[in-house]
Amino acid sequence: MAPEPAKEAVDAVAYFNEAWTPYHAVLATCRRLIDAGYEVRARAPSPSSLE
Amino acid sequence: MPIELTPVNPPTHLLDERQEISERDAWTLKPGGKYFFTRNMSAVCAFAVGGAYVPGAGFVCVGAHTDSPCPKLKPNTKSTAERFLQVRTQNYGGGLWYTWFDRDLGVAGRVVVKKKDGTVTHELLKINRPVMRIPSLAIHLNREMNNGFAVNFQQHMAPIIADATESALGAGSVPKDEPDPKKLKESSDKDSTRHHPVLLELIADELRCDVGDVADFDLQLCDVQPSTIGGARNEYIFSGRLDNLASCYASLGKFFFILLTRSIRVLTSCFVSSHSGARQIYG
Repeated sequence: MAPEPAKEAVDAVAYFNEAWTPYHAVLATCRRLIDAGYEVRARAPSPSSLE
Repeated sequence: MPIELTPVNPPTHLLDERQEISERDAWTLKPGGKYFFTRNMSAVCAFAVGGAYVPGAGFVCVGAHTDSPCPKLKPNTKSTAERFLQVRTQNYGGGLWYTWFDRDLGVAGRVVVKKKDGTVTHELLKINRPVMRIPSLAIHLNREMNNGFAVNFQQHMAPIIADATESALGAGSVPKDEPDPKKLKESSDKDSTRHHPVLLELIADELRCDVGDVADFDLQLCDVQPSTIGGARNEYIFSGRLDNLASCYASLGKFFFILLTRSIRVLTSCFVSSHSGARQIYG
């Protein structure tokens, strides 16, 4: 009886299957970052908008 | 300020707001905060500020690249040989090209869609079914195959996407007589200038848009066989693109682990274009 694969291995395989291209890899990475509580940084106010 | 993200559908929101994200502007960062930004949809940079971080305390960083060697579709993909419609590709990076033979190939990448109202969007495409194939020649037509086979990329790496007869007469129809291959080629060449209509139809169907809306694309061939865990004791991961997706994934895990330390600033980046010969202008 083969042992159950490690959770990290299962998640890594899921990541590889999502990341067909660099674009999809970035998306898969962003999903995991968001799930881990990361925030996307938006453009800060430009000098003209501060006037 | 952070872009509002809806948990049920973060990718779409992320992509929609892509133009608003810039690493060149000043940010207001908080100790204990965790942030990331993307560039060109092909690179992501994440960083976290330790709760006790003070300027000058230094940082640690991890980097990896998201791209892997693959056949990319050329700007002009249209090719016809005998009664086969083929798709021209170019080599991206230095790959083991013989491993792409006799595989079920899908297509994926990014497509520029220009709607009739003038709006332009970038859509991610992933055709997860075997729409193309690069077949090996039968052994009795090349007895020297097992004595060493050198792949000529331009000659060999143009996958077959459709039968010219079917495309000329309409899908599902059965030809009564064998058509003249020369006439088929002429007919096919008249359909469009750069791509076979069947390729554009595939893309449009997947993106639920009109064929005429497909303005341009950056697409590559992909093996549709999924990555999996294998080996008698489940001790292996069988997958393509391990160089360098394995490092991308590992950097995420290491990144989160590092966050346990509180007084440093950590940075991880996943870039495209680390492969020799890639010649991409974006990071």
